[in-house]
Amino acid sequence: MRIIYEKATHEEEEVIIVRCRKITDDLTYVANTLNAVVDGIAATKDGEIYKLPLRDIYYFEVVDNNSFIYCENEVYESKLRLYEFEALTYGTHFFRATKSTVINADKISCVSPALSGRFTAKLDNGEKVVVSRQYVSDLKRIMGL
Amino acid sequence: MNAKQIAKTFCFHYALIYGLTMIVSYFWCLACGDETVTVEFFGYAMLFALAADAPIVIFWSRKELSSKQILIRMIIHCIVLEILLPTVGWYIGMWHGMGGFFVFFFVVLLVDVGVYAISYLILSFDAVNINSVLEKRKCEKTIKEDEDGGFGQDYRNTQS
Repeated sequence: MRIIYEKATHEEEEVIIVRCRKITDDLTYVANTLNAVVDGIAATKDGEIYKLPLRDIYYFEVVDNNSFIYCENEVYESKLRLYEFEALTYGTHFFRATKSTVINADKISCVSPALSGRFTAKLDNGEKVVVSRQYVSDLKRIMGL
Repeated sequence: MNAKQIAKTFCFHYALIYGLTMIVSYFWCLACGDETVTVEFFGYAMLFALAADAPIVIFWSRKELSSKQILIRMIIHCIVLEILLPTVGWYIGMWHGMGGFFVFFFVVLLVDVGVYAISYLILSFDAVNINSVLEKRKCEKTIKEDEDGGFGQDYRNTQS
């Protein structure tokens, strides 16, 4: 399948058109993922609802059955479960880092080795998160190693 | 590590430890000239490998461990090894006397620390590779964003 980018003028609306002979499950999945990426994921903070674009999300974490979305300086609550967030971000640069976190690899500034086969990933906002031993291979795969 | 990972690591390490024990014993016998091993030694080596590998269950945890918790478990693992292995080693005749005990003790400590050191070294190489890819990606991203809204070569102008 070819992917064509067309530059729109300032007056034109930005649109994603999927030209197909038949709407398949794969295409529906792509469309839903595009929707999540472009429109964002719903999250709440102080009683208000926000739409967070995937590119602004640093990592997703579950603590005591509560889900949190971490952006550069803010933390939001989410109704999504870890596996739902993982499914939504499948095929993007998000990867499962531990039993309770999914990290955006695009927000990692550097990694350093830690005890017991783990990595400590330093994010662009200075925060440090752990990448478990069993998920190091996922990080390497995303990096193309 | 969860139960499945513990089991997988246990089996892999067991084969490795048993294999290495037999290889070292073989070369020790060659070096000592007249030394031989009995048939029972094969069973003793399996027992020794089991004693060396079993303490890995110390690292089992349902939840993700913090760095501090892992460090504590590593220390406990080392202590358990230093108690278990010399005991099994004495039982199967691997060491005799106080001199033999101290040599055995330090060899076990050396191997334990050596395994962690090698693992850390391998991770360090991985980290260097990953960091170089991260650096390259960030540079490419900056260049792409600067060039005409990120379009580069992959666009066609809809205005004729």
